[in-house]
Amino acid sequence: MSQNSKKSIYTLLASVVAGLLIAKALWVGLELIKLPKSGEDIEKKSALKSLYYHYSLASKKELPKVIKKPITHAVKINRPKPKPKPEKISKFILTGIYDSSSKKIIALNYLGKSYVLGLGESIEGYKFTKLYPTYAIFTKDKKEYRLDLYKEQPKDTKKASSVSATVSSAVKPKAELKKQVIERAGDTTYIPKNLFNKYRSDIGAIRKNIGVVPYMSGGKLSGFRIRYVKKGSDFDKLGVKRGDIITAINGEQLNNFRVPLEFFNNLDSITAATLTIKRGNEIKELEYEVR
Amino acid sequence: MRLVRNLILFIVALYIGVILFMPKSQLYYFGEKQLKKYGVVIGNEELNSGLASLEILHPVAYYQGVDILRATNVKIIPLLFINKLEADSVELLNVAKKFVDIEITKLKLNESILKPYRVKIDATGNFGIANGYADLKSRILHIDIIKPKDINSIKRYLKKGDKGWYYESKF
Repeated sequence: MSQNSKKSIYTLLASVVAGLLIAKALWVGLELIKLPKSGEDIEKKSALKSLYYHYSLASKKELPKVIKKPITHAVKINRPKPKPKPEKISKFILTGIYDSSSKKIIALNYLGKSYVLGLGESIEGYKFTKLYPTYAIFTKDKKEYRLDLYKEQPKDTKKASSVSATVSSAVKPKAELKKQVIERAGDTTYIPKNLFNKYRSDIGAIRKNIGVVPYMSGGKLSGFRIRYVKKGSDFDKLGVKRGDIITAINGEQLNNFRVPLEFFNNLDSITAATLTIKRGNEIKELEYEVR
Repeated sequence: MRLVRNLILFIVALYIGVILFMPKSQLYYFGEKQLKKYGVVIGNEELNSGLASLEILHPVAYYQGVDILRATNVKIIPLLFINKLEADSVELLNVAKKFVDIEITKLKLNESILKPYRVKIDATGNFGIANGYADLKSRILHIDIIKPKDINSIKRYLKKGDKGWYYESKF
């Protein structure tokens, strides 16, 4: 091989190696300066806080005087320690729970009469000491007792439940609850479970009856505006009107899409919700219960 | 002449080097960081970096913390002049599925240096066969359903044109 051709091969190789080296150097430089070494992980944000407001009335006529206070945020509640398990009280029926950051109030039924208790108050020697989303804890003689929020009994249950035996009047509105119509009592709108499930599984049907679009303020999402509500539809009975701006669900501000997305994702487990709406200059809170 | 030949060889070597030595995973992480600014996070994925491609296995896309999309496999082939993305079994999840019930069996995105702002889209799924483009400059997404199959559930999002059903939106 001549000297010239050898030189030519070396030059060729040098060009190739130089090209590769420069490419590598470029990437290494970029890696060091700009590129991250690890990716992004999904931060599991807490699920939509449930609204700690349950209001299960024994009878519309026996509406306990619950102090109304706007709920601005859901309150973090510590779960009770599993041990020792408090005994259940059978003589009272817990018909309502109101839990805000400053007030904890329960409504209960005892021997056909309705009572409203604040935290620390007593009834029949039972002192109301703690409140949880679905039950209240009482203390009597240094012993804890648990009182669960009243739930409608299944129709075919013939068990002599302590609840139904004590206050028969409390079970009266059963027939009313079976109706598949949206009802309003006070500020709360009751949605029959079947109706709720029907719309839950058919988003298309929702869109036919109500139109909601993101509402931007100052370039940022600040709620969802109701574009239309079909007259006479189930959604017309929910108390919302065209032009209303939904600003919060269960006290969570709708300034991002996470809250509504989680709300839709958790529809299966939702039993109550509060919508904060802006109607003109007025701020309203609409409460809903599924049963 | 020799100089030109060497220069061409250098450029070819440089190009091959750029493709081979490309830190694909790190570039992917960089892309993830950019997406996060818009509330999108890709999670649950496993990266498999090849010589000229990056394979992302079973990724799930979260929008503001809610999982909305998943795919079994996504392959990105960055060739600089032509960049490709191929995804298999793309499925909408949860609430997104309630609104748009579509499943994409094969999705192909192509971007060429000749039209850097236009991403060509080809998709096959339960809706049939579709193709279209995403214009990154005018921020328009246009999809033509060229062979519609089962489009009843998405018809309300589509418009009817001369060529048939199409979807168009601004992003």
